[in-house]
Amino acid sequence: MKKNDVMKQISAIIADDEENLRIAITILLEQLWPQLNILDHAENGIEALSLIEKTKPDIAFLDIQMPGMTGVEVAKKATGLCKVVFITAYDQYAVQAFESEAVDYILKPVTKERLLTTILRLKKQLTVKNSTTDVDEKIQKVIQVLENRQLPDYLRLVKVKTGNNLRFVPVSQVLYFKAEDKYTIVQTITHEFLIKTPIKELENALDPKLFWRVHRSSIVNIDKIQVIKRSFTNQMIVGFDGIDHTIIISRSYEHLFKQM
Amino acid sequence: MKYSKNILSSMAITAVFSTAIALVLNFMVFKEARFGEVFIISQFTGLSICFFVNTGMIISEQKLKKWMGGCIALGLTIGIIAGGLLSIGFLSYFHQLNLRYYYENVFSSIAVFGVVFGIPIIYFFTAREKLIESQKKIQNEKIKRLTMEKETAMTTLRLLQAQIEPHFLFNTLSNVISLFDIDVEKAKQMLIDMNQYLRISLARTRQEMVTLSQELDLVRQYLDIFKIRMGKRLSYEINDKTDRKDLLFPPLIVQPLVENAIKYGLEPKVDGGKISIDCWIEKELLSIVISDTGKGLDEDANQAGIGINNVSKRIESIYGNKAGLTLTQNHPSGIKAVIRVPL
Repeated sequence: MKKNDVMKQISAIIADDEENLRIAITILLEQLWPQLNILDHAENGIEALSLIEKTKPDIAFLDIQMPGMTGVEVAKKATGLCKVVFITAYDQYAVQAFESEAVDYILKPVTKERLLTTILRLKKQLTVKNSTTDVDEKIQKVIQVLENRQLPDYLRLVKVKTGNNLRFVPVSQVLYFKAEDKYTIVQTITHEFLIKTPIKELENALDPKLFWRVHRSSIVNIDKIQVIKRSFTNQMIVGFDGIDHTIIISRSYEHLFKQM
Repeated sequence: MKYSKNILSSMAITAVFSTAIALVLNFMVFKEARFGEVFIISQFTGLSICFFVNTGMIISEQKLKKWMGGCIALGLTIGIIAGGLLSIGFLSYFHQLNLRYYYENVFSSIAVFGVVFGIPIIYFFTAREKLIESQKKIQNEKIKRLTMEKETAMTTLRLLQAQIEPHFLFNTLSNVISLFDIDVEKAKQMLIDMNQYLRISLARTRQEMVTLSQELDLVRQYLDIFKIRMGKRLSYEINDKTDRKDLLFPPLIVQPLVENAIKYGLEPKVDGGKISIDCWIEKELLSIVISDTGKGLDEDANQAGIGINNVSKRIESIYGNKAGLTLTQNHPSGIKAVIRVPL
C-alpha cells in the first residue's frame, strides 16, 4: 500500500453544485484518506469535465444533479480517463442502476462509514491493474439504464407565439385542437392561438386518456366537454364550457362517445 | 340518438292525446261525422304539429337560443297547415272535392282545435322536458359535489407531498449535516428555516384557504432554505403591494410555481439567477407574478408541465373561468407565470 502511494500519489476532483456539500466531502476525505491529493473542485458539470481533462485525476467524485451537465453525462464523456464515484441525494432509480451494476455511489448525506467502504474499494481497484476496462463497462451500462429511463412523456405545455413573445399554454387549458389550412388552432376559453404542429403529430404527443381525436382535423380535451348532441343533420357534435363554437365528431369516431 | 328517441316518444304520447281529442270532438262537436275520419284528421294534425314543434325546438336550441317561443309558434303554424293539407288530401280521396267547403269548415276547425289543444299539450311537453333537464342538472350537481369532495381530500394529500418532497427533504438535511463541519451558525439557521417551513406546511394542509401573506411567508422560508444551498446562485425578492393582511388565497398555487422555477429554471443553469414575486390588486383583480431569470423551458417543458397543469386546474376548480394562469417567456431569459384571480 505504502509503496504505491509513494510511487504515485492518488489524486481526485470533487464536483457538486452546492458549496456546502463540496466542502463537507472534502473535509471527510481529508480525515479518512489523508494521502489523497484533492486537486480541485468543480461547481457544475461543464467545469467538472474540463477539470478532468486538464488535471487527469485518478478519481472523480461526481454529483448527479448538476447544472450544465449531469454527473452521468460527465462520466460518459470522461470514460477511460478516471474512476468515477457518483454522489446522489434521494434517487431511487439511480441507486437501483448502480446497485445492479455494482458501480460505486454514495448517498447524501455522506457518512464516514459509507465513505470509508468506498475508499477501501477504490484503493483496491487502483492497485490491481487491468480492472479499469471492466469498471468502465459497468459504468457504460449504468449510463445506458439512466438514459433510457425517459418514461413516455406527454406534451404538457404547448408553445405558442404571441407577437414577439413565447407563451406556454398548459394543455389542461386547451379545449380543442383543430387543423385549419397549414396551421393548427389551439382553442382555450379566452384565446385562439395558431401553431404549426400538425394534428397527427399532436395526437401522438398528447395523453390519449385526455385528448381524443374525433375528426380528421380535430382533437378534443374530454375534460372540457360540456355537451354531446346531435345536429339537425344528425351529426354528433360536442360543445364546450365558456365558448360558443362546437366541434363535429365524424362518424368513424362516434363509437368513442357511445360508451359514455 | 337522444333526439330521435325523444321525437319518437313524444310522437307516441301525441298519438294518445290525438285519440282522446278525436273521441271528445266526435261525441261533443262533430256528432254527425264518422269517427274514423275525425280520428285520422286528429292524428294527422297532432302528429304534424308534434313533428314541426319538435323540429322548431331543436333548431332554437342549437342556433337561436333567444327565439324559443317564436320557433315553437312557427312550428305550430306549419304543423297546422301540414296537418290540414294531409287531412284534406285524405278526405278528398273519399268525398267529392269541394275546396271552398274544405277551406271554410275542415281547415278552420283544424286551425281552431289545433291551437286550442296544441298549446296546452306543447306546454305539457316543454314542462316535461324541463323537468327531465332539471333532474339531470341535479344529478350533475351531485356528481360535481362528490368529485369536489374527493378532490379536496386528494389535494390535502398532494399538498403535503408537494411541500415536503423527499428530494427536497433529503437534500436539505444533507446540507445541514455538512454545515455542522463548516459553519455551525448557518446550520442552525437552516434548521430554523426548515422548522418554520414544516410547521407552516403541516398547519396549512388542514385549511382550504390561507392568507396570501401566509403563503408568501412559506415561500420565503422555502427560498431561504434554497439560498443556503445554492449560495450566490440564487437571489430573490418578494414584493407584496396588496396592503391586505387578511387577503385569502388558496395554498398549493404559488409554492409549486416557485418550486418549478428553481427546479427547471435556476438549478440547471450554471450561473443560477433571480426569482421575483410581485403581488398587487387592480380593479378587483389580484395579480401574482412569479418570474425567474433561469434557463427557460425547453427540453424539460413536459416535466415542468406536470406542476403547471396541476396549478392551472386548481385555479380553475376554485375560481372557475374568471381566473387564470398564463405562462410566458421572461426577458432576457427565464419564465414568467402570471396568476389573475377575482377578489
